[in-house]
Amino acid sequence: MKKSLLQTGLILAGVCLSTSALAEIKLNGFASIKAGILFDDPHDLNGDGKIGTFEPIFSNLYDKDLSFKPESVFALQASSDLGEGLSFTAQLYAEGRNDFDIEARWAYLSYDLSDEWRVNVGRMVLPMFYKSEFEKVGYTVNGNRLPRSVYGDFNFSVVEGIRLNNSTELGDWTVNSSFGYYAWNGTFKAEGVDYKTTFDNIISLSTEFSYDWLTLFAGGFISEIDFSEFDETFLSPRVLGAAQLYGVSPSVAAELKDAVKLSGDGQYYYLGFGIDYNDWLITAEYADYGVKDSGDTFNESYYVMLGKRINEFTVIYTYENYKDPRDHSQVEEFTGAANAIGKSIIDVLLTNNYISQTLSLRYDFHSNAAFKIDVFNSKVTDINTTFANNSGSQAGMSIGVDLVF
Amino acid sequence: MKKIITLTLLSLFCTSVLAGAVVVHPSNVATMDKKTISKIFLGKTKKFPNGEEAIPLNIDPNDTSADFTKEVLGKSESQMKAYWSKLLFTGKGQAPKSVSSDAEVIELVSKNPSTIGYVSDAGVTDGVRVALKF
Repeated sequence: MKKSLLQTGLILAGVCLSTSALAEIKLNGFASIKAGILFDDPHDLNGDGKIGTFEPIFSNLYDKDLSFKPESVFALQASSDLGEGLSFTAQLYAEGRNDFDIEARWAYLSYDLSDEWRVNVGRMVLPMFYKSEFEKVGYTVNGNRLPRSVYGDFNFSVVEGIRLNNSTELGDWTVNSSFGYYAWNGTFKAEGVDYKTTFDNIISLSTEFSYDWLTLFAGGFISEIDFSEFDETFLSPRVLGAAQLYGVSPSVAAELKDAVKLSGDGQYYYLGFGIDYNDWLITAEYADYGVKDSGDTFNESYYVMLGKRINEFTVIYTYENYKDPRDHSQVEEFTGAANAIGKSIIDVLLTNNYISQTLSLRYDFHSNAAFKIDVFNSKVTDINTTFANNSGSQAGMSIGVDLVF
Repeated sequence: MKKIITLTLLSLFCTSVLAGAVVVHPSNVATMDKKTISKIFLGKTKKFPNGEEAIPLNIDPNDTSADFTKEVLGKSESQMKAYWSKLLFTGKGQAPKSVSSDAEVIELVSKNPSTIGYVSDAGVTDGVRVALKF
């Protein structure tokens, strides 16, 4: 159901006015108004006259026509302090990518167990990688976006569950950690069809150690990922059909089907460091993720950001490297036709390796707002996929304003 | 004559470099350095060195708050805003309460031994104790 942001805002305001004096309500929010454009049309890499839909980074973002929708977002957060350490927070969020449909991105009850421990229960953003939780709060990020090699679009980023946050001092180090248990269910799209997917028993741990100018961070999560609808209705007929065609025995075909299915134990982890010294900034983060013992291979990506603050300006250079290595070990026990079928299934699920570079400028022109402009270039380094044609490189720029209030 | 000129120049110099003071309730005699005060205002600790509760108080953006943020916390106002936004929009904490004037800070600090705030040099009164000058 579509609601206008204005309508929701009025409802919220009405709630605030009619609430009794016992609960103190605080309203905050953030917004990003961004526009972007690509300079060239995608290139036909293998010269067959077709341009593929499988673009490395800017898929579903920008093209040759200037667009404001892909990265513009609005959010309103209402927090009600119920006293004695208990509070409730709801964040209504809308992004241009989803036609500004409003969703509750965060909605949770908070309780302060002590000065160091806080528990949150409800709906929240999964701390998948270091900056995932505040990924959409543009003001907290120096560039126009977080490096997409790590912070791509994951549709399971908003989960339900319980989280324990801890903040403690170890000598001169501040240690912030969180432990969470969550679940997610939704859909996963393949060739235009939505397949029911669930992430069960998501167990996540993340930690950050900071000392003056140095921050070290690491974390990850595991989960039982159920892609059974996709495995049964999309993958299975294709595997069994090809097996029959090439004379693979039914028992081997069944084993092959099990080897390449997507369902399994997901493992995601990240680690990195940040330096903020005399207005020189360096951040590096490495991420590694995939589904164990499945048709999905493990992705590895990292970025390095170098920047300098000069009064109200911050200049940043970002280098990103994304790899989805072609790993056929999952089907090496099979021989002949079965082995070939297994390899082709794994290959069809691969994404291309690429390198991306971005130069951005941030201007803090107002205490609540930052203006940003950047130019970027991304280049496919290895074409892994066998079925999609791909563009060689893309260059473009984006411009925007991020606000917090 | 020379001494008077030197002293005058010195006091002028001091007034232009030191813009404000961190103030606490007169009963709060804990010695606090920049690092300790910084931890309290960044929400990294909720206690004074003596173990008592510490409630930091900010002033709405003005010259004093800008100087405090730069000299004591070592950050610019936009860095502070980004710092608190990360905590606020992820359920991990929120910025200290903010009041609009030196007078309000003095009012609250002189009445509550748990509060700690900052005012411009001119705003210091006998009702509070100066913990640090900046």
